[in-house]
Amino acid sequence: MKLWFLLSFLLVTFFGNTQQAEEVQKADSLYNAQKFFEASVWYLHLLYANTSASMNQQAIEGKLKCLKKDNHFIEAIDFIQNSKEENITDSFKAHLEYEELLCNYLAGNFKETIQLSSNLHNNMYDTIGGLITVLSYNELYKWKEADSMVQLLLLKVSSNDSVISHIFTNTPKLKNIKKGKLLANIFPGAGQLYAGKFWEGLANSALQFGSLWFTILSWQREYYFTAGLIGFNGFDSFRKGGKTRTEILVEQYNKKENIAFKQKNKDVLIKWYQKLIK
Amino acid sequence: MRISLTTMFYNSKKYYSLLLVFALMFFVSNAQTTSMGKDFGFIQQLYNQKLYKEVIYAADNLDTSSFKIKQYDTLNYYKGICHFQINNNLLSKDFFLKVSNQSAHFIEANFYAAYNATYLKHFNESDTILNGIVLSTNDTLFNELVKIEKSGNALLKRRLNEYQYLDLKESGNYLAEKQRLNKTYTTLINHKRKSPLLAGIMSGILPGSGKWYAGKKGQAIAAFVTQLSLGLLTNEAYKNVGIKSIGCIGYASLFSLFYIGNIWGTVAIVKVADFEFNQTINHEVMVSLKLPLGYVFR
Repeated sequence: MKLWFLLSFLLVTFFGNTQQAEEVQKADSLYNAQKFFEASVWYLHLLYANTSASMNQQAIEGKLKCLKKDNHFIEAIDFIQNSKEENITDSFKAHLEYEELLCNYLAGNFKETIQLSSNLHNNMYDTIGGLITVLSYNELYKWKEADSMVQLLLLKVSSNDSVISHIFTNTPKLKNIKKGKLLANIFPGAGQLYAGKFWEGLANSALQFGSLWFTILSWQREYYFTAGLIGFNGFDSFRKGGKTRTEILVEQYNKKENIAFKQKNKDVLIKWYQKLIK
Repeated sequence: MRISLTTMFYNSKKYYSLLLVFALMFFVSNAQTTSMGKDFGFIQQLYNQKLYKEVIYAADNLDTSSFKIKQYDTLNYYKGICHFQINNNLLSKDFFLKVSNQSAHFIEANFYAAYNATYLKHFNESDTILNGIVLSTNDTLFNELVKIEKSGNALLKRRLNEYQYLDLKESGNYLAEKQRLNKTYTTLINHKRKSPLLAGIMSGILPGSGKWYAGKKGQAIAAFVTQLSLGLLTNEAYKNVGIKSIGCIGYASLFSLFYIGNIWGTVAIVKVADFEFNQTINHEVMVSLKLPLGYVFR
């Protein structure tokens, strides 16, 4: 009789585990078929079954992969925070902290990423955590902070890579909006020329002088309404438009320079990290 | 002899043990078909986390092979609620209507089905569902809610006599909603619909006056100033160089273009204002119909 009970117990355990394995297989196959939403529900069901720490970790990992593939980074952050309460190992909790940092970065929560990185206490993820922090400062155009973080990172990995160490020193030279507007006030079209738009500046200058000439000419010919409504109104509009356009162009120029610098640094840093982990 | 051997086997412990093992194997093999089980625990957990799309997917993957009416009702109720939360009103209505009168959620499901029908502008269907609720319950709270929902339908259909007949008194339960609906009714009664034709004619006689009539005073002044300026320029060119001059023809063409454009714009503005008014009213009514459902059932 004892033998039969033992046999029955083994059978139930075996088939129970088989069912979990089948669910993992189903979730994985859906993931591989790029059906990330469907796969994520199956992973959640595995987590709900709460059979073992390793199965829970597998389910959490799977669900996170699905959320990241679907670019649902905010949901991923919420999920990570809730998952910390599940039956999982401490080393996996540390891994989740790193995942939270990464998802915050990918979600564009750069300030939160920097804040979280200061709490990251597992050595295993120090380098990647540091890199994500540098990239976050880079996204926020905080070159000085990014530079000091790079120096810390190089110390951690005992590297003296000259390209990386000077990456944030040659910051882009930006143009001054106030200076541009002042120039636009002094001479028609000068603001746009300062912003780097030669032909646009020249056209604005011609339009302002042209409308002023039209105003004077109309007035001399006693076309007072034409002089006022068309000539002077036109001149005033082109003058004000020139000033506004200068402001926009300088802002665009600065943004373009900053983005180019940011993108260049991002590429260099990622390539450097890829080399480092090889 | 054969009989005695069989009887011996049936009486033996081995027989019962074998039977147990086969029963277990049968149970396990059934469980092996990849489904999300039979209980609603997982679905409830997803629902509590407001993962509505996930609830729908999980509900579709439940093992319903041994389900009875009560469990199907729960399943349809969850699907109805989740489709409602993700604004799939048509599907939500259909699932709610599948909930049988044996379910504890029957009244709630019917209220939500009626709301969904209203949202989809199926007002007659909504009224029929609401009449069904009145027949199945004597609860004054529900009957008052039915009256609110029906009054809302009357306002959305713009059948003001029907609304008046329902006589929504501002007392008892759902006071805020009743007050809001009555206020909307008063707004509809007092609303004087602006005529696009009249506004167009007014703009033709005096540029800007049609827009003033439509309640767009800023645009009215701008239209008048533009038209006046173009008129003055045309007049100046006409007096100085005559009617056949390029200047006069150019300004006169511009004047005509703006004049016709202004009339067309005024007619469009009145139509848009009317549409916006109706949208605002409908939105207010829908809010008044949705809120009490939340108070009672959520």
